[in-house]
Amino acid sequence: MPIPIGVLAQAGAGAGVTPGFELLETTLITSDTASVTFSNLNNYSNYKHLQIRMVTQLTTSGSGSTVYTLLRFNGDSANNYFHHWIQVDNGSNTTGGRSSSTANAIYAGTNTCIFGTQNNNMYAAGFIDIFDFGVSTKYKTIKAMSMADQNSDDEGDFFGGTWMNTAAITSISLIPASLSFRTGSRVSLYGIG
Amino acid sequence: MPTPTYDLIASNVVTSAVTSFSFSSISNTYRDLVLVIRGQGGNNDFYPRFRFNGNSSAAYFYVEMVGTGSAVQNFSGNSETGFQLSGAFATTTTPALFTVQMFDTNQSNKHKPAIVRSGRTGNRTGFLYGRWANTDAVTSLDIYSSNGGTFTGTFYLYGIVS
Repeated sequence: MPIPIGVLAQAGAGAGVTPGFELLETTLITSDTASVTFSNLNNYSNYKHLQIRMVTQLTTSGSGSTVYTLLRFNGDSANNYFHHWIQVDNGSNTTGGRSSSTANAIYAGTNTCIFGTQNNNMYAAGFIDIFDFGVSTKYKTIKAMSMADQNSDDEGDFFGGTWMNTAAITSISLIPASLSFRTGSRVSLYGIG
Repeated sequence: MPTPTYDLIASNVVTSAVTSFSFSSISNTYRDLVLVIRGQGGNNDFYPRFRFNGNSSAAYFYVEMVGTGSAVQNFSGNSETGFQLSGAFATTTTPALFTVQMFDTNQSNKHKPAIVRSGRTGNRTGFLYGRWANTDAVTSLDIYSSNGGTFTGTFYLYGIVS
């Protein structure tokens, strides 16, 4: 018998109980699209943190190499971001790296699953945690784990990143560094109390 | 209106050592699943191996990176019979924690990705990234030790709606 945690919280405490982990929005991609944006996040001020969960495939054409998903806040495409990562692939390589200086987005997703290049049932997947998104006194930090397994081109990543801006986050954009999200992809946004 | 969505589907505390543990009849209500295990070896070290829907064919692919406290290791598996956690295994005296994130498990047109974080006191942490090369919706989940040993632990399965 499933136990709905949210219901328990409501039943058990009354006023003052903060929300746990709740679905805010889902984008199911039904036509190829260059980016996914969640807007008006100021409406979710009763949550402290956000999590994005995504399962994505990229449109055909272009190379078969890794195409990272970029993360931007409040439409800011200036060089106000910093990120670093550790990575493993099935060539028995474990590496790490970071943006050489400020960057115009955070690397937050792995994707080598490009339609038409391998088995088309393969999708990349990952989740991104965004901390204190509504606070206006801190730079914003994220961590993310993501993977793309496409036969001989497997990769898994653990990312950390910072948006060097204290503004509350009101919008989040996910953008493939090249190509587009393909039909069948899914991006969900959750609020954490 | 936000939707409460991180639900405990089932949990179990296994105090008598077993050679396998399963969650079955998993509802397709949930798009993602999260499995949390605190496991400990019974008669041997506990190297968790995961399978979906009782499928033991060569349909599992993964890469894994491990920190030992003094070195970085990596492992990979192609056409394996389960996701094999080699990094932060549990011993008979020291338990380990495993968190398995599974995506789009109720979909029938995608292979199933999984991301596993693991850690054990004594300088072990691991990250595994895997794919079950099967489009079937996940209805059951089997856990056992790749060395055939027994284990005990607590097992929690959560569902996430999207």
